Amino acid sequence: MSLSTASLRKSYGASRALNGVSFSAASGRAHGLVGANGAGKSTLVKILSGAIRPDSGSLTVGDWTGSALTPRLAQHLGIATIYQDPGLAPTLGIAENILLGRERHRFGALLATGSQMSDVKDCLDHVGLTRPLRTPAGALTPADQQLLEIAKAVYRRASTVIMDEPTAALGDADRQRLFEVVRRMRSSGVSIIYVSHHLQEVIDLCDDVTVMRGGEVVLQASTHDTCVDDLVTAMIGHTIPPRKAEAQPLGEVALSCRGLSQAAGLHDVSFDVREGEVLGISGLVGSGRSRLARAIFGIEPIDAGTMTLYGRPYQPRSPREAVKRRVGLVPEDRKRDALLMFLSAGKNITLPRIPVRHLGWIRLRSEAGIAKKWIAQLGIHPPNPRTPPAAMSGGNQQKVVIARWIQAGSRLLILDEPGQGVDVGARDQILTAIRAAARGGAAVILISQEVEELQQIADRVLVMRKGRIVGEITRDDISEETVIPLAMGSMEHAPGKGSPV
Amino acid sequence: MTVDSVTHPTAQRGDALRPWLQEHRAKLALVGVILLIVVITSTRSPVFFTWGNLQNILVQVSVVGILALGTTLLMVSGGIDLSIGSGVSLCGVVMASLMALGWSPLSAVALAVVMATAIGASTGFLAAKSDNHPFVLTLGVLTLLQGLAFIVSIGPVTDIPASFIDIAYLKPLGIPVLIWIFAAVAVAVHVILRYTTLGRWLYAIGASESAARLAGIRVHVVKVTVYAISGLLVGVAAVLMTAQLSSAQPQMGMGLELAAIAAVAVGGTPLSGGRGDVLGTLLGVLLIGLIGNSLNLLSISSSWQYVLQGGVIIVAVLAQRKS
Repeated sequence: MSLSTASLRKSYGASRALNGVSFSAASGRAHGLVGANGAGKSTLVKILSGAIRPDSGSLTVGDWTGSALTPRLAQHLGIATIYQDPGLAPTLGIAENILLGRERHRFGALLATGSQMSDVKDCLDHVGLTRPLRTPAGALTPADQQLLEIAKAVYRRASTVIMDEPTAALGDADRQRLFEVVRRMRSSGVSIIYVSHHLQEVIDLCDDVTVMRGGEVVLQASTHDTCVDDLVTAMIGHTIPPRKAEAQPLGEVALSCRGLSQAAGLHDVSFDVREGEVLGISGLVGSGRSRLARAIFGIEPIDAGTMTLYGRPYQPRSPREAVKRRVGLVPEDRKRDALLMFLSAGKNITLPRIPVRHLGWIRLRSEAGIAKKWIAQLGIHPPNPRTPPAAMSGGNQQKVVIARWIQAGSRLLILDEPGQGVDVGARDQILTAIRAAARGGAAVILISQEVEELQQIADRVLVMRKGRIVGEITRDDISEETVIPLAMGSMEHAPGKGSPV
Repeated sequence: MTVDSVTHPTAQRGDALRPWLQEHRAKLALVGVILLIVVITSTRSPVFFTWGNLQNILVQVSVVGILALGTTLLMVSGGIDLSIGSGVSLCGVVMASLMALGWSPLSAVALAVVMATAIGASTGFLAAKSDNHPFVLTLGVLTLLQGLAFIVSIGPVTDIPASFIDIAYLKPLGIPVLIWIFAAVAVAVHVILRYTTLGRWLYAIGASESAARLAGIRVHVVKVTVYAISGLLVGVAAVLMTAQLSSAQPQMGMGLELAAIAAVAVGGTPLSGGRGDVLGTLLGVLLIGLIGNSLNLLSISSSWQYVLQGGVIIVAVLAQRKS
């Protein structure tokens, strides 16, 4: 079913989130929706799913035209929205999640879902989810959770499926699986609205693309005539030149790992990282990259092997010991593991090293000064130390976490997917901040699935697969052609499965 | 620069008053309700708006208030302790029984306070070890301490030296000692929350325990500490209450934990933690005390007092919205 909007406007107080957005998505096509954080994508998605009412403008879905949708009406019109964090009931099984709210009853109260199971199985086949029906949704991988959400939409005979950053938490292989499903849905006549920061992905997968900036549509085009650079230019108003940081003279060895092993999935990992160096670590989800970060930061113990930090033995049994040795971790899930969402940015930044007088008495004034300094240094927006991360975009939240560890004087900084869920402009600033930390003498370990990120700032990349380091690539050779085959393992890298990003 | 201005159409300069109102909306509403009660009761009762009556109210709420201040620390860190009421009972009867056996008031008080602190620290240790919310755990501790209180004494212990009971009636500078102690505890808790790293860590743990741990905070140690501080205040409350009542009995503290939690929640500290402050708790304590006092003065039956207090708590909690 086709869907379109005409001059939608929406304001929150004095700020205008949507400023006359006319958008259309034809049936049986995949439609990409991109834009920087704050461009108005989320607002548009929320209006299309009925979560919020526009101030003015109109919507048309098939034969229906009106000024606003409600969640119920949107569902009735066949619109299903799949958010980045799947809205599944984690303790309920796969089948129960699909049927939730649609259960057939006997005598008005008793569940009689047996007869619905064949439909449920068809939907699961359709999306290629093969786990047992009773598996709790919470026990599924992020990729399978996404597939389950899609299966739910298929069960509800959705004719328009909106996907908000579906691949943010997925590795390359899982992305390919998801793309397959999207293509299959599209060919069965479903229209897809695909919101993503991954521009190449949008171009590869979608038929059309809409770029938003500052609450307006600035570009609507077919993906055949569009390249990533066009999108970036439209998103931010100017081009970001791809740049390669100049090589830095490296200092002494900061961290040296020898034969690190962990029964759960690290095998004989040995490497050195030096002061001033940005060491990239690449690999698929489950390759052991995050596990390695957790082991170095003292979150998970190692079973064998040794580490030395600046020449002294290093065996952290807790994050606290790691922090004391001036190691910092920017974790993958910043909302859960790093940010205090409702405390001020200033308090977030100083948390590991609060300036104190004695007996834990905080020097509030110098704390405020420190916060201001780092906010200015990293260009955190809004530039107010009292703003909580909850009121910031993903990119600025990430900068707060990075500022925290630079402020704490980290001599080894580990970053796990710092560019995830962050728009192009902010990502660039984050990479600059990371590079600056290295130039300031810190050793940096940058874990990333985005080869482009590594290409921009890493001096060296280690590729991991199944808990082992399977290759090392030095600066000028870092590219998708060198990294991806190593990460996938040449056996698993079947050609023709779509070009890896 | 371009990127920033695009990214944040929401950020606007100026108009500093609105965020302030937004931030303090719940407290302003609370102050409004308190003023409303004051105005209504003053017009109906000549006694109400007097210094003597204000002292009465503060004396009446001081025990619950002290417990509520400890509970504020706990709730800011995302914790809770349901056992504080039965802790008051246990420490009260133990202290009174020791004095009945001939212990000096000073050593009995010291023992009660140390015992309460140790109980709090142990509860904190268990809460830190457990992966579950401390609600059920401390419910267990509540029942256990209540049982111990009955074992110590099945009925009231009244054989208490007058020198001890007199504590409650001391009036340094003309103000009852209970008010002084309540005020001192309020200042201390405020200082902890606002000016010390311990306070900051409590907010951090309440906001996200995992983030706090990964920032290098010793979450276990902080938890044991905060439960111990709350325990210490349980000891203080037990001493003051026993002196006030001139006796101790094994159910003297029953329900105090709920009154304390209600006051803290009305004051704007959510059960989920990460937010809250002493000012809110004081307003919450004052509101609940005021309702009781004004209804007394207006000679409304105590049954209706429960109904009204309950209603106010419900309305106050519903009025709080996420910022």
